[in-house]
Amino acid sequence: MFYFIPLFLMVVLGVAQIYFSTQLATKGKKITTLEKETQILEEENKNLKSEIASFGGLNKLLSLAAEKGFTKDFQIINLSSKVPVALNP
Amino acid sequence: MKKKFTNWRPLVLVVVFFTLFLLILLRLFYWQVLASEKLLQLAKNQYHSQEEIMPNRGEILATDGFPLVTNKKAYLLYSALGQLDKPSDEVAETLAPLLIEPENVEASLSAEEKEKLTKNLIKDKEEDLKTKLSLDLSWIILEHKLSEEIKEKIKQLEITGLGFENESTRFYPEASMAAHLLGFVGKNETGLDTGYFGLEGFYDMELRGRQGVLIQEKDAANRPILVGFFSTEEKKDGQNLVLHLDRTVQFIVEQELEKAVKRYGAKSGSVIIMDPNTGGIIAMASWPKFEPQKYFKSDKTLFKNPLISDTYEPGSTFKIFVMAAALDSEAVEKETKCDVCDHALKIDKYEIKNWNDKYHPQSTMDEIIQHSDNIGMVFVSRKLGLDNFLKYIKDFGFGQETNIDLQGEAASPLRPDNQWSEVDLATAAFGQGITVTGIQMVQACSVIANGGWLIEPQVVKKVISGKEEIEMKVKKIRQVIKPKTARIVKEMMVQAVDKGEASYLKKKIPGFKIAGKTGTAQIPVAGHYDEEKTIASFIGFAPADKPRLVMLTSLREPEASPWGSETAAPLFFNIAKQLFPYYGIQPE
Repeated sequence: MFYFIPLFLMVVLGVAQIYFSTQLATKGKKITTLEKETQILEEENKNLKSEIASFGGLNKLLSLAAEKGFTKDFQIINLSSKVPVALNP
Repeated sequence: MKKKFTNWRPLVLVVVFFTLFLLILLRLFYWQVLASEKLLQLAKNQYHSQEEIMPNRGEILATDGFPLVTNKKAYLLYSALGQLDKPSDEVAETLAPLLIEPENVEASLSAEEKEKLTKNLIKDKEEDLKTKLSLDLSWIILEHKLSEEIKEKIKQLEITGLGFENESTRFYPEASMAAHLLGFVGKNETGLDTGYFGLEGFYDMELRGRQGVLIQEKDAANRPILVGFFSTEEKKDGQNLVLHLDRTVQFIVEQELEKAVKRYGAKSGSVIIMDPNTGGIIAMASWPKFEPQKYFKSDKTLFKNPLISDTYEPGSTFKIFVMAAALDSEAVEKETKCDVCDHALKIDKYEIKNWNDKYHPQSTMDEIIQHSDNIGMVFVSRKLGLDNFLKYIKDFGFGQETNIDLQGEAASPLRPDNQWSEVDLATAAFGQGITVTGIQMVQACSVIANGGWLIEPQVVKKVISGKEEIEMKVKKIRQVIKPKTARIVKEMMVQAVDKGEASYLKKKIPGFKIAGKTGTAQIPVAGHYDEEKTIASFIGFAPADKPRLVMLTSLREPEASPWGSETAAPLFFNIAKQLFPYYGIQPE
């Protein structure tokens, strides 16, 4: 009766090995796909970052501001920090 | 006879089988024992994939976090020579025009010259490609750092045997801003990206990072076998540098500097702004400059940063340090009167005069600074004495490097203590016969601005390594003068601005208290001073009572006027006028 136990275990472990090997093989494929996706996203991220930076350059902003009609104003009025009214009643 | 023949056949068969068995055994012994290492390696090469993971070079960020230098995607073009489906000469002729970017041709040339130059460049490239494609190699790199646009154009040619690999290139969103400070990235003799000059050179190891390696078993479809061998060495991206540099200030400085160089017909010009309390470099600009992205197009002499690499005679701007030394050592007091200031002085065979040949008898110390009186400074230096003079000048940092975190700093040492003559001391008192760098001047002026402390200048404020941020500490070197002395010299510099030769500029920004000093240094040429060529400069800080910035402006050989008060001083005030509202500094 007991000699069935090792036989049973061999069958179960054999089936398990086949199952997990198949699973791992498909996981490898998934990992490759994910790695490729990560690489594409990283590259896109890098491109977007440099694109954003190129739009934020001061020379670019200056020419955009000039196009919109903005100019430099040197007539700056400084307000005195002294309170112009009496504090005590 | 018949019996004999039948006995011989099985024997032959046994011998043949035995020989074959022996041969197989020997072959197996060769494979299993003698050639096992080699075969094992060949097998590993088949199913082990080794991938080099290139790190991203660190970014350089302005104080507001905006990238001054970042990375952009680029492509490497290679050829698998055995697989080319066209003759190599034809491939070279087709590729060459695509690899010469129009913007790489000098913009200042006429249309005809541009066309001629482009043709020559294409021809050179063609020859280069032909040489590469004729080599007896299986794989060769044809071009680095190609843009997406050019890659697409080459792809459309559909030439079998050409391929691309990803790589990255440096990208400068602010174009040539702070070029001398940033430096550039080029290739070293082994073809690796390497930083040269400025920050790229100084922090090359930190910015470069560490390459990673991934070794794993892969199947026939190049998919990883998860139960197989796996070994990885993580890549480490380069560290990011956050600077003290304020790009708005840098932008203003560069705009005004370019205008001033053109307006006054100067050969070159420089401006540096430093925070006197931290030593942080807020702006640093020199004109003419180069484009770090296309450094290879520029004259190599432009790469070095004049503010840290070039020495010059400072002229009258140096007087403030000699005066500070004399006051601090109590050799003179503020009210001490000069009893030799009524005439030119003769020392040995040399006659020392004032810049305008006007003399002011019985001048006090602040009047000497105000009038920029050479005779007065000779009087001060005599009172101070050579030993004290040398001690203080060295304490102010002259004659030695400031240790700023930029590649290419140079400083000419002071002459040995025992080689100073009376005339050397006299002329050094008004900034002649002694050489300094721009960064030394700003560092020394910060001593007066911050109450007496010599602080090491630094460009990098913070280093970001992954999630870790390392703040750079303020490096106080030594107390050079007492706070009281610093206050007196500061007031003298304020008087020099309010009543000196640059006083007309105060109308530009009324109400602001600025401490400053003009300087006009003659340029030594073959043993004498050139009568016409000068280096005009202005050094100062503002607001005088609570200094936020120390600034040095200098123009080399200005044609419009040789005087610092008429060229470098207006540049200083034009920049200061724009910086006060930016920093929210109000008039008093």
